[in-house]
Amino acid sequence: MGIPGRYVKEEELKRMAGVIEYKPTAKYAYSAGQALSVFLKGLREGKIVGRTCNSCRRIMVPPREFCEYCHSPAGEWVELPGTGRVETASVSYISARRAKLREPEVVAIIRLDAPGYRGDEPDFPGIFHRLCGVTEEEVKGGKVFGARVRPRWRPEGERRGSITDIECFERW
Amino acid sequence: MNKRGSHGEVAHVEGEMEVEKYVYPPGTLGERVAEALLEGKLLGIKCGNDLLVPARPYCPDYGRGELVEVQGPWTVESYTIIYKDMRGERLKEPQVIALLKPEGAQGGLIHYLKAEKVFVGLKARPVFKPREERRGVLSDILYFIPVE
Ligand SMILES: [Zn+2]
Repeated sequence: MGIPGRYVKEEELKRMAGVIEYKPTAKYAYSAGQALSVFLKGLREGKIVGRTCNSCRRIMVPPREFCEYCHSPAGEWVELPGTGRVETASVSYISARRAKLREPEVVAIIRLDAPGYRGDEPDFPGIFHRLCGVTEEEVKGGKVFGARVRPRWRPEGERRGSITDIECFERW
Repeated sequence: MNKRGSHGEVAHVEGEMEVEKYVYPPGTLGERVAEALLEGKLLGIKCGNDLLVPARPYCPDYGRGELVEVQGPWTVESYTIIYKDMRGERLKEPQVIALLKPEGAQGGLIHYLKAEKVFVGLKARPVFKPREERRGVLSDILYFIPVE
C-alpha cells in the first residue's frame, strides 16, 4: 500500500476544485510599554535615554522596567550623550523586504558612551543602527571597527518618536 | 489610542507583517468534497452510526468511513452578530454567523445566516451560488436561510 494521494502539476492545480489561494494580512498593534515609551519620546526630543539597574548598576538602552539579569526594578533614568564607538558592522545588499539595494547599506552595533563605563565591558548600552559615510571596503577590511560615531538626527519637525528619528550614525 | 502609564504617555505602534500568498490543494478526500460542492452538495463521513461533518479522511473509531451527502435540515446551535470584517473595517450591515448542525450529525459548519428572526434551534438550509460561479469551496454557499 502506497501513500494515499497523488502528484499534482501546477497547471492542474489551477483547474482543480477546492483549491484555496490566500494572502493573509498580518496587521498588528503593539504597545511600546512603560519604559520603551519614554525612550521613544526621548528620540522625538533628540535624546537617547537609558535606565540604571538599582542592583547591578548597568545602564540599559533601550530602558526597561526591570533588569532581566537581576530581576530587580530599574532605577534612575539617564540621558546619554549619544556618541559612541562602532562595536561591529556588516554590509547589507538587500532591503528588509529582500529587494536588491542599489547602494549597499552598512549596519552596525554602536557601543554608546555612558557614565561609569570604561568601554571594554562585555555588556554595554548600545544601539543597532545604520552607519553613513562608510564604504563597503572599510567594513570588509575591518577599518570601521572602533570608529568614533555620533547620531545624525532628523530635523525636529520630522521626528515621530521612532528609532528612525536618528537617520544614521556618522563619524566625527 | 495612547494611554497614560507610570512615566507618561505609552506609545502605540501599528504595522503589518509581510506574509506570502499560499496555495492550498484540497487533498485526496477534499477533492471529492470539493467536487460535491460544485454539484451543490455537502458531504460528511459515515462512521458506524455517526455522521461527522465536515468530512474527514478517517473515523476516530472505525478507520476509513464512507462519504455521504448531508441531508438537512440544519439547526442553529449558536450564533453571533458581527459588525466588522476580518480587516477591522465596518460592515455595511451587521451579519449573523451561526454554528449549524445537520440532523443526526456530529460537528457542523460555521457560516452566514440570513433570517428575519435568529434564534438557537432555528432550522435552516444552504443557498448555493450559481453553478458557474462555484469553485469547490465553502464560500460556494452564500449563506443559510430558514426552512419554511
Ligand atoms: Zn541588574
